[in-house]
Amino acid sequence: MSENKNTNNRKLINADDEQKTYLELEHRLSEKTRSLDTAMISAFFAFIFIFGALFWILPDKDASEDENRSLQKFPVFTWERLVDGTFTEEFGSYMADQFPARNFFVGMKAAWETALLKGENNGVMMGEDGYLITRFDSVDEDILKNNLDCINTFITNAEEKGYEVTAAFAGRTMDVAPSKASGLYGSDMSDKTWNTLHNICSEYSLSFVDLMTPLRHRAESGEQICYKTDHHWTTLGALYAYNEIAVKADLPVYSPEEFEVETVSEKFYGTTWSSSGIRWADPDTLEFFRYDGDEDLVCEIPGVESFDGLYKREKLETKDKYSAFIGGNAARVNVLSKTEEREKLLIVKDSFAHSTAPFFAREYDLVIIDLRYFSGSLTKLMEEENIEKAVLLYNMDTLSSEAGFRLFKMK
Amino acid sequence: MVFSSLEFLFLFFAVSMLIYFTVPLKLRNAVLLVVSLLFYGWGEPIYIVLMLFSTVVDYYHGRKVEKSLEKGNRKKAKFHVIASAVINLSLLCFFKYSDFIIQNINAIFGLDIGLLGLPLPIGISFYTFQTMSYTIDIYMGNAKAQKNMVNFGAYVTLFPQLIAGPIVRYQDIDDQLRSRPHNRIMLASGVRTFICGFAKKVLLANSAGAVWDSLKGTDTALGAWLGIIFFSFQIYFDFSGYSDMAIGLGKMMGFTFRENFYYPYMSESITDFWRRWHISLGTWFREYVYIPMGGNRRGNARTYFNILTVWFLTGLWHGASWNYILWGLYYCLILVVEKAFLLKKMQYAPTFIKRIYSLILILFGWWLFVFEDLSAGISHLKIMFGGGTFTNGAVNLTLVSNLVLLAILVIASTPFPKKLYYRLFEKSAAWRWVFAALGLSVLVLCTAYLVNSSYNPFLYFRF
Repeated sequence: MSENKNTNNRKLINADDEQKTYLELEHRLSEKTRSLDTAMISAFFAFIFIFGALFWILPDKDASEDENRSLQKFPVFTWERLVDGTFTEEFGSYMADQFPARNFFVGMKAAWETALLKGENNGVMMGEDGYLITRFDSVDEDILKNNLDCINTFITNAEEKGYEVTAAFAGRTMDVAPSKASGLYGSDMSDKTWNTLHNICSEYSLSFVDLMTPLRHRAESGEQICYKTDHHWTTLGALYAYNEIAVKADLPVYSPEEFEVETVSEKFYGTTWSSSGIRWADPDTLEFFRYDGDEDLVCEIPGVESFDGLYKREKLETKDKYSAFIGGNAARVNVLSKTEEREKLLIVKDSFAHSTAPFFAREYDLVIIDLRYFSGSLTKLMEEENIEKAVLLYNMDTLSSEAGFRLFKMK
Repeated sequence: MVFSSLEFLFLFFAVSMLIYFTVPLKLRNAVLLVVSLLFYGWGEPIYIVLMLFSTVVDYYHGRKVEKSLEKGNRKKAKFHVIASAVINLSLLCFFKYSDFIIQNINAIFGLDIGLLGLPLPIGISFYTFQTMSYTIDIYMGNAKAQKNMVNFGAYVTLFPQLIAGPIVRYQDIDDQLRSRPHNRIMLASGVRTFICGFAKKVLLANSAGAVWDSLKGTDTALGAWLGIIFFSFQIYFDFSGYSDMAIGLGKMMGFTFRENFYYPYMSESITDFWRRWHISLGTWFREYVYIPMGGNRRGNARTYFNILTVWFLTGLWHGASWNYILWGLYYCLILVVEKAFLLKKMQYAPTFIKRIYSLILILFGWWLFVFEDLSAGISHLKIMFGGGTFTNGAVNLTLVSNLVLLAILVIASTPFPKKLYYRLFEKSAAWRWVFAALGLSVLVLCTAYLVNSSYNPFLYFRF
């Protein structure tokens, strides 16, 4: 029902006219809007005051389990930091990271983006069959070139000294399982990136094991090679990747049937689940491929800890379950046999190698190095440890990002 | 500090409002002055000094102008107007344009003078123009000098429009500084306007901007066109969102600022566009540059010279880089052509043709505006016209996944939503409650976007 027949249907001619007309309308109705206005103003300020107060009252958290990252703490205050803007900038992140009900808001944003039929949030596509896949729409050729230059330098030096080095490069989920990405996305960007990689490598005459193409064949024929909610490959994918490397590096090749599959978690929510905010996605299943004698191995993280077997099972109780493989990220991990003396193998890698380690460790003792955290010389390490063989295993994501070889470059 | 941040809404704004509404009326301008200085100093504390300096200089000159006028000494009054303008413009020039001038001198004379690398004081272009309006308004007899230093300081530093406009002329706000209505109607209206602006910035502009950002280096024609289209929406909703937030915050504290945008993408000519886009800047240049230079009253040649000057300055005002100057001159050219004959010729053309004509020109305007590096701009233009492939999977997906957003952006650029809102608002109480609930939900949603923001730029750091 119309309460006021005096609707202003006159054509508005400019901004001042519009502003005046609508302000007049608000004033004209002001008797009728008294309780409404009061309620709205109260709710508006209540929201701001309550959340503003809760922000200070609630204790700060160190890390967000859901998002798999550490959170900003109250920034250090000094006058210099205030003047150069560092303090205020960090304060902004502090407020966002420690905001009350952060997880609720993160999920809310993802839900709204979904409602807008965006099909993605925070750069993660909601693909087919529940796959959450990070999209990379471009590749920085300079960074890629720099990183490959580091790898090439190491290989050239090592080969001059008579060592045997195998480099292997793995694909991201969008490379390996393009049909699981959103229909239109296809493999254009992926193909372009890999062509760039091939071109740069042939410029350096750097030969490598392409782990992307064979795994893509497997994924496209229906095997689950990549996790749905994590950027890594599944243990099955890791085995196939290992086999590709094994052929080139003259290591034993295994078939999946040779292992006893132990399902250690059916509630694995991985990294793309974390960053996408898509909290309603189905979890993955995490498997260990067990074999006789893997309990007789020991993982040593020098200066930190060592544990029996290849898996740090406490990690299965946390969200970051993939870290169970050899205990997760560390500058150096040694995998040794407690019962016998074995030949050593050096693995230089990113986290994709963690789930391949059990296969390498079946016949070899391993020295596993992560160049993001390890700043020593690799060839010197090989000399000292009496290692003849090395495998370099990198994912395209690390190859094309700045941080991957930071410490290597600093030498 | 910027409005579209958690620290603004849940810390600064919350505490400021609490103090503002607790203190007696006569102390409110003082509160406004203090909190505005804190607001300004949040990012660059040392520049508070600059702001205080501007305030004192203009306060002094304003008094002097008025006293000279009272004594009938127009010449002396004029001297003080010029003195204050020179000081203001020198500050603006020094902080904003010195590196640009040095670069050009280096380029022309093959020299290698070192750059100063000064960080640009945020909002300097806005507040410098505001304070210049003060002495000029007094000289022209459009306003009285402000005797109270605190009131004047509150005007100069007024946080709602300090960093991104609108540029409030002193004559428009003179009376409000002395007394203004603090009531429920203004407060409610302010809350609505603020939420509307907040949503424009956080939900629309940032989303459009993220799309543009992902398409910046594209080598596909479709991507290059989409990119510029999304940038056009980004800058409109960002800027008009800021203006709405400013107007809303002002209303909450009893101020009425004039609107800064009036559906610019509905323009039927470029002349029309500049009556609808950043209205307060256009008004400022007309009142304080174009008309004092003689406007159109001194013959054709002088008129065109005046127009050229105004548009050169308008371009330069937007940033210390040649692309902004070119952008100003581009509009100058179109406006002159429209003035000379095109507007008359177009008179009887169908409205949609006129709108398409305007939108295409505006789109190319934004292309000039967005690329500070001219060679990057030219390569983008080449790609728009077939210098690369037509499309690829990533661009296709970007287009399809943003179709709903695009539709929202288009509809939100028309007067339709506001019209519908007020029609239903007037119609029944039920609708009003629905809208209030909707508004608050939008506020919560905006908070979610700020908490999990992947992209929240401040576009006016070059202004």
